[in-house]
Amino acid sequence: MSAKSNTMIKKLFLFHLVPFTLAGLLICGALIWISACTATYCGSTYIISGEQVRTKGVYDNLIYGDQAELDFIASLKNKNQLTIFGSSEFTDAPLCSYNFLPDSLGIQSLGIGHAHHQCFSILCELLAASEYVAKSKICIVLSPSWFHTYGTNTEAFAEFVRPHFIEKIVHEKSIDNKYKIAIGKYIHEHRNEFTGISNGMAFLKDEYCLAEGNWLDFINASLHKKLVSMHQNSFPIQNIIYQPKLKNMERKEWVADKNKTMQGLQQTFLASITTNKLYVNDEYYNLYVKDADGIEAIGEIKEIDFDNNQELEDFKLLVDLLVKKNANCSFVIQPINPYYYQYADRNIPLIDTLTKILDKHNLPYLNMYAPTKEAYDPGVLKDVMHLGDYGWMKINYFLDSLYYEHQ
Amino acid sequence: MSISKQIIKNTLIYFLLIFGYMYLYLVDIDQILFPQENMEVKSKIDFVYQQF
Repeated sequence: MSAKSNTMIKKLFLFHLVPFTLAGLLICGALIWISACTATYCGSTYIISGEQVRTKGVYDNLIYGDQAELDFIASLKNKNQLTIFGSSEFTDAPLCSYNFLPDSLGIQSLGIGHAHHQCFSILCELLAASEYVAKSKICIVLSPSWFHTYGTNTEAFAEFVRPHFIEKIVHEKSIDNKYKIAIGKYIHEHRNEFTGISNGMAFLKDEYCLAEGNWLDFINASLHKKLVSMHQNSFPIQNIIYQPKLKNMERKEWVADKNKTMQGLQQTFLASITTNKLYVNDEYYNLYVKDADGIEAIGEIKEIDFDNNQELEDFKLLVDLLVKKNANCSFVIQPINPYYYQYADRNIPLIDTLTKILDKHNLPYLNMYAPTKEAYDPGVLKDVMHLGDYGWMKINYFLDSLYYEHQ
Repeated sequence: MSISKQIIKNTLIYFLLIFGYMYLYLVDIDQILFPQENMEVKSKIDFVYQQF
């Protein structure tokens, strides 16, 4: 080694490494000293109490404030009520289960969701209400389209996983750390897609970085946690307590002829279509399927990448929670319209995977998926992928037979 | 400049850099000065509903 490079190493050591180490030691000393002088802060308790208002209908999301959160928690706490999670098939139609079951049978039901409401946000919502999930009647209406996305998007996460829910998850000691780490991972990976990171989100993000992050994430999370603990008054995480006063509905007798009702709904739908042979309602067909030149579009189902499917991982985590919490849960697997979508059979491995997971845990489900035109029951969907009255009525019968028929 | 003065100067610079990193990057100094209890987080991206 030359004398010049020797001098350079000496300089680097003396003028940079030594000062950097000294500065690091000074900071560590300061942190230890300050944290020893800081009083411990206990997060304030925020109680959300009141009467359960919604025993029917749907919340398209949970941004409507404390009452929406309270109704959601009450729906899970009330063992007489069915909570239905789903996505874009949820409308205000009278035959949707959360309208039909309360109106016709006096079975109280609440729907939660709109488009993009997928497994991960459902998981987080259930975690926030985890103390009430046991024995709770829960139905999750799955759409195969979820598994063709990159998982729950940040818009849906922010709309459904409310700040109070995050705080509830942080404080809830009975929640297994693996779920907290999974949420922290989601927040860490999507941190640049949010307008900010709340204190609760930062807590969960740190949990993930400390458990599974790389060395830089680990150092950052350790420092962040230390700084937050030193300034706890500035980073409060409230302890949320929900105290809903439950409401119960009177049961009604339903004497309709099942076959006649189903047939009638199917025939009414089929008779209403005048523009196409795809079993898509005229309005949707003219708006989305037919282009300006009158040419009919064709959809195509792509092969699913099972090695890298976030939604499938989220689904497994969701099933795991429901099983562990002993929820009285069921699933509905929706079809897609094979008259519109080519290669609907490409979803067969996905449907098999989902049903195998559900079978393994002995969870009841209604599989409506049809991989071919021959197997498809026209009218189940009102368009290319959204449930119609006939499809909803099938679900209503399934839910009634599963949860209420023999009570 | 003597060696010891140079070391002290660099120590101070590194101290300020680490301090700044911690209080400006890792935690928001604004949050320490003006704590916010209920922070509403939104998505920066508006996802448009699309058929797959």
